[in-house]
Amino acid sequence: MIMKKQLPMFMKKTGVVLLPPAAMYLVMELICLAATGGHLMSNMLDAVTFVKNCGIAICAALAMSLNLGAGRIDMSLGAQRLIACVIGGNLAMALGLGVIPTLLLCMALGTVSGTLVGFMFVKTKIAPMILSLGMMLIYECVVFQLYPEGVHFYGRSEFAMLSDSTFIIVITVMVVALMIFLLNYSKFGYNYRAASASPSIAANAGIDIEKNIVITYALAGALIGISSIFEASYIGTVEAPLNMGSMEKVFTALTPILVGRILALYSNTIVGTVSAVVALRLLNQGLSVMQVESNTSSVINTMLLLAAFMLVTFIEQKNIRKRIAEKRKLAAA
Amino acid sequence: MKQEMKQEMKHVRKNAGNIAKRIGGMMLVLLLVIGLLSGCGTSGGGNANAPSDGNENADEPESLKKHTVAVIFSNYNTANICTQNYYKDYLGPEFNVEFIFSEAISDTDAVLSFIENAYNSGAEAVMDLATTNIDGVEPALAKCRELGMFYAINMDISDADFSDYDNFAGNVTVNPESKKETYGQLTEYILDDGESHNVVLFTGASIYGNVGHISASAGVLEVLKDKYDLTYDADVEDLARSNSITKISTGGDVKICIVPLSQTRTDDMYSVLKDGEYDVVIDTAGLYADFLTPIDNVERAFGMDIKLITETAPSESTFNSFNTEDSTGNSTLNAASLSNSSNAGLLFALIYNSLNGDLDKISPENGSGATLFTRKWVCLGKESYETAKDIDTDGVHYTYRVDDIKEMIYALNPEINYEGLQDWADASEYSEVLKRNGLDE
Amino acid sequence: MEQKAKAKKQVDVTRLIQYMPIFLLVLLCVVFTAMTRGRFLSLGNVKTLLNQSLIVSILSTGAIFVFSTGNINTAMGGTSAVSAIIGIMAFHATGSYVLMILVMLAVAVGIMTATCLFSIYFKVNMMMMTLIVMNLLMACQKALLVGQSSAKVPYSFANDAQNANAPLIIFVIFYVICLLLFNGTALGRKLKFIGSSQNCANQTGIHYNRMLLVAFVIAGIAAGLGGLLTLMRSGSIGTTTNTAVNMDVMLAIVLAGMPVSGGAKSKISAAIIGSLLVSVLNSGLLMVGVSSTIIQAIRGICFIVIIALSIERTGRIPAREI
Repeated sequence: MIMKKQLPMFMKKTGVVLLPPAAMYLVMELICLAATGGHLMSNMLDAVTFVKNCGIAICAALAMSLNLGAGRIDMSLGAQRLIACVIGGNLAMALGLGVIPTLLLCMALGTVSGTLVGFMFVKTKIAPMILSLGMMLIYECVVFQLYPEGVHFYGRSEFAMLSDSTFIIVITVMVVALMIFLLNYSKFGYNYRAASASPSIAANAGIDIEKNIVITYALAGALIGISSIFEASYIGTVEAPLNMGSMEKVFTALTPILVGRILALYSNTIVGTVSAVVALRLLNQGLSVMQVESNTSSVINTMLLLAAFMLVTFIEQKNIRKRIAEKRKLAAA
Repeated sequence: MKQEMKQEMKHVRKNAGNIAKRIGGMMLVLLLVIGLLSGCGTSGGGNANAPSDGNENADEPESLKKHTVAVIFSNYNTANICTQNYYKDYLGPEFNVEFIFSEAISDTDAVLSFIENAYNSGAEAVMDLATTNIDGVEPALAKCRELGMFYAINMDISDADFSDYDNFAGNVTVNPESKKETYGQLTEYILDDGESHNVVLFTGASIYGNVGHISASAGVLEVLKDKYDLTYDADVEDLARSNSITKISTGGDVKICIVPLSQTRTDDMYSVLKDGEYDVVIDTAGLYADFLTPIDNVERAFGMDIKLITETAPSESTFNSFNTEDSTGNSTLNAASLSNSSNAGLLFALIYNSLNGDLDKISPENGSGATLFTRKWVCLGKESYETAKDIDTDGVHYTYRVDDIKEMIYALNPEINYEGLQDWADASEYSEVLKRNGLDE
Repeated sequence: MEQKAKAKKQVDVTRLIQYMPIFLLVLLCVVFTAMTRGRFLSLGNVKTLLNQSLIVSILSTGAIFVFSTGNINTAMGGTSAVSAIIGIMAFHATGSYVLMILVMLAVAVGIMTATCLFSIYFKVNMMMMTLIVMNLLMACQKALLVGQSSAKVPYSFANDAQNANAPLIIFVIFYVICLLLFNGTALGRKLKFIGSSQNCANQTGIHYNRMLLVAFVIAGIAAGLGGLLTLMRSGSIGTTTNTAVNMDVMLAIVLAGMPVSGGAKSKISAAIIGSLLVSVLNSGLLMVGVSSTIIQAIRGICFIVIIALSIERTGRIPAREI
């Protein structure tokens, strides 16, 4: 009986979560056919490249969503990415490390840089965005001083597996599974959600807020470390920018996170974010097939971010009004 | 009452203590940071930290008087890092010149701020390797004149007239015609197998008016036109300036696709190559590292060899690119236009002569700053690169060694003049450099 | 009674904390002057510092009106660059400098007004809205300059303006007007009240949306003037002009002790002090021999240290930003 009632609900939720990527695929396929006569994915190479890009974007989006979900904007995530892939990559090449040790090294460097930001936040209690700006300046400079040329992976066959699509899929699936478990079925996740909703109430309930925040930053650093090393080995080279040049990467991850928050109403944040990332990658794939000029592409993505924001705000406002109406009904009754 | 007063005084003392701690803490941190890092960051060359104090080195000959020169970079790519090392570690100690290097600057306002700050740090001249936009030259030149500094630039400014500026030492660049010829030569080399090829041409900053990139792109298009008897529907320079990915009409079976500079250039290149139609990629802007992975992916997927031409400088990554085999067993990088330190050396010579008061001795008769055109080297394959790779990188062999630079300095060689400098610019030819460095067979 | 009065006087010493940025500015000047044997405070260098800080100062002055309401505006640099490019287009079409300036101001005010209205009516978080607009303007800047390396006016315009000290005069006039508006009129009081407590402000009859719009209009005027000053300094606007200024404005304002949450402690002087602090740091560090590539890290360290030492500690984790 219960299963009969739950099944349609499950189907509905699954349908909603799968809707954005499916709809985006259909729409972009039709547009590409009409505009160029070609398909969105015309061969296996397209599919493999798409999968690699999704894996990289999913890890980056999950990293950003951890702090964003708690209402903190971490502008230094781009710089943490540099610490992980540039320093980690160069160290790995110098020490002759293999694929897994390189991945672990980059994760470790990402974790350390993230932990430092988290620690600074809980000790100084400076607004996260402001603090992250300062840390971004410091991290960029550190990376530049150590490796001004950045990191070059091309031609290093020992790291080829890092850009292998199967390897990326496996690691991404493991990351997603781990994140679902951590945020939904573990004590850390419970504390994280409580602290995100209301730090003061959570503190009164006995949760160690500061420890939770530091762990959140550390986890975000580890995830961006994974994303960064995949991206570095896939693209082949990563530069070491200065003057807040690393901040750009932060914005590309924002749209899927916001869309993910909407989809989270029907599933959970992680699944919603993954679905949104896939949908957005399909959009960018379509823009690439149609060879849309990069500035136009940038404007389209920015407008999409704005639309996502408006939608999130609208839904949150609607929910608030609904709750107020329900309370009033109860009070009247 | 008395107890209340005591409590208040205690509170006040605590407050004052907190404030004193904050102020003290701030002072200590600032002093520590500034004190530590003023020793850490060196400007390079001569006496790194102490600014020149007119009385120092009074006994030394005029030509070895200590000078401070500011150098502006737009980025810290391999070529610029080589240049920095060339100045800081090689020329600086020999000529007693201290260098102040900028951070990566691409904006005119930032260039002006750096010039002002460098002047206040004791710089007497500016070597501008950042400005690539003719509109940015005059403000920088005017600022230098206002501050009494000499100015030399690594850019083609043949269309402009700066004869009113007596502080303008000159400009050094690769002759656009020479760049056109170089890329033409490279294209001919790649297409010399008698087969038909489809070409992707990355035109770099041609859309923003970069003269060098436009010339190089035009050179490629002209060779393709002659080689395959093509007809274009626009002038080659207009085609080079295309502002989006463009499959140009060739009037034949050969396909040519223009890809301009953009932030998504890796994805753009992939979108063009992914159907396996193109088997030659020509990069006029030295950004080939961003295309290696898409090229490799397409080669693997289609089992085809995609030939790659680019512009680069001798470095470890260039060596790897020439010597790494792709999935088809061929060299990843097939041919390159190699940058060298000739521009850096000649710029230094212009500025050093200016600082010695000998600008008029090495300037052309019309009174404007010297215009010197250097050569890039054509590297046709990895064997060719084997010899070139050590020049400007191994600390021993240079395009212009100290002895060569001394020949360009009037105070050390009174026979040098503008024509002499032009001859030295011509001597940046690869064979001449090999001869000077004893590397010719 | 006397002892009580004495205690009250000494309690007031806590207010010294608000003068921390000025103290820091003086301290830095003293340290750099000592380390450079007096060269730092030479007339030429002081003039240079003032000139370099003018653009950030004028943008910060306008931004403070928005910051004081508890909102953050990160789109000042992009607005100034795009408005300048469109103004230059108007100049090339008509040959009139006056029209160029008017178009610059109109476009800048238009962009800021649209940003504000969009945020108000679609209830988008203001900081996110300005971040989105900042990204959009960066793309627009590149798109407007396709086919040319920069948008320029004849260099004589910049030269004559510099010789006449026009940038300094424009800044002083604008700053004095803003100072009077912010400190001497109901507008300033209302903006600070909104920053302190939006609920209380609403209940006293202050119309939040209207006040925010006024703040953004002033920020727009500042952005237009910022574009004009940039043009007066360099004569051209490129694809990356003023992109770093977006964050420089925020750095300057926060460095000067202006609370990010706005409120009663907002002060217009933060614009000048903050931008001078940034210029003094950049210039002074280069003069004492610090490599220019390390200066960025020092800015970051100083930024964090100064803010950490100058904020009031409540012991609580800062509230959600988004």
